[in-house]
Amino acid sequence: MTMLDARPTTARLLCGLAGTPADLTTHLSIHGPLPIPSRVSPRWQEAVLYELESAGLTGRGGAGFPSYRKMRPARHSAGPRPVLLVNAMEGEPASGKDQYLLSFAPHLVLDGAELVAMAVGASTVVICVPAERRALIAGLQHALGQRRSLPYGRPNCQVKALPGHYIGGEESALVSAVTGKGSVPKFRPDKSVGLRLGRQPALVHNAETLAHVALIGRHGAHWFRQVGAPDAPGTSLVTISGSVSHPGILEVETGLPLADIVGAAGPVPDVQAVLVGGYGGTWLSGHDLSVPFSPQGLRPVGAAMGAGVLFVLAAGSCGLLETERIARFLAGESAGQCGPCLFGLPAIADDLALMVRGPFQPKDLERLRARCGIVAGRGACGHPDGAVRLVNSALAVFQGDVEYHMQYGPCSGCRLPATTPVPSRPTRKVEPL
Amino acid sequence: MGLLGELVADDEWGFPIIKGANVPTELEGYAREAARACPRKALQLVPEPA
Repeated sequence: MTMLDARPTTARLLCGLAGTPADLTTHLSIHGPLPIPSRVSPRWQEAVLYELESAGLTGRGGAGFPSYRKMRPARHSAGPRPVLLVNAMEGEPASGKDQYLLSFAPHLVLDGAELVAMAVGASTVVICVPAERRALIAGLQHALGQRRSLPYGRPNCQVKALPGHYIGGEESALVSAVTGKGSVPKFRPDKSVGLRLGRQPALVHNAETLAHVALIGRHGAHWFRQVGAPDAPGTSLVTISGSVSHPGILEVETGLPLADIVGAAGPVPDVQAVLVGGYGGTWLSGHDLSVPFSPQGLRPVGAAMGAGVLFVLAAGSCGLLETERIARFLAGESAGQCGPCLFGLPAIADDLALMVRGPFQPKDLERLRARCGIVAGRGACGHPDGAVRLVNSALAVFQGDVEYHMQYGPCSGCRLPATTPVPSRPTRKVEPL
Repeated sequence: MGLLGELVADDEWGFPIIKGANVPTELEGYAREAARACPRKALQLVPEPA
């Protein structure tokens, strides 16, 4: 794996940040004012949407969907005005980029949210954050207070504190939570049918996505596309953790080799594997890190940018131990809505636990593979699919460990404590809905 | 699930696994009954995409 001298980071969102929250004055001195006309016209609204389409901005919440494509229908919806939900739930335990942005560059996220809200004619902006992030909520309220001095007519903005479940950031689960019905994803075979908050169309965008909108609004689509991969232009925030000397949030051009991005965080010399995307993502072997960090670059190896999580596993650790820990966490985060997820994920976690501690036999491996095969695709949302993706990638990348465990029982890596971050308490009580 | 054994099997937790998603016309009545009968509302009959 190559190591670079300089950190291959590009400061756009993170430009000028110095470890303390950037207040409105600091924010404006770094980025300049957001060009909003005194009167918002339909022509201006169309121009904003066209600019976002030309920029090719894709969602940074995990799905990577072209952002303008959700905005247009919201703008043209008949009936009550839409509501914009800023998705800062960030349920991935190993992801910290949205919290980072909201804490240190709140005005970037708020600029983008207000710009989108005005472009689609939304009456209200609701910034959705987990209730337990109290300092972040206080900081946000403070930032909103500072914005009262802005010269343009702003939409009504409010902060909504919600229960912080893993799936809380899933679009339809978020809308469900905001309406007070709990974080329960909706079965949506046709995602072009929009979500609703009561009678109002609900438009959901990730906090980082909106921060990019704030800069596209200032510098334009051409500027945005000057860096990054063609299928996901611009920069993206990643959260690097695990066996690295400098864990944290990095802003990188998409399309860089994964090895270079990981290299910027000071990994150990012998990287065994990297978990890419999130806990529903994919383990990649330390030998396969030359792939570009972009949708097209990662798809051939069964991975995706996801929420930008990069967890680095050192050679001496046991990947199966870590995977069992994550799988157990994912099982505990089921909404309890669908049988295959509610029952299948704990069963898969049990199989992994048996594999880790032994005795694990070929028939147990067959059962685990079969369960993975019948759980994926049979839930209302992608939660079980992610868990299965993670486990299947572990069985492939840690194949040597699987064979070792079957023959000899726990390996030397099993004596080390697992280090993938998981909350100490479950966020929800899992029971059938 | 004997009601629609041609198209639906049970997983180890008793939830339906779709063996064949396309419902032939002669089985449509049984398919509707199966979807109605599922106590967990886990089965849905949806129109074929155009």
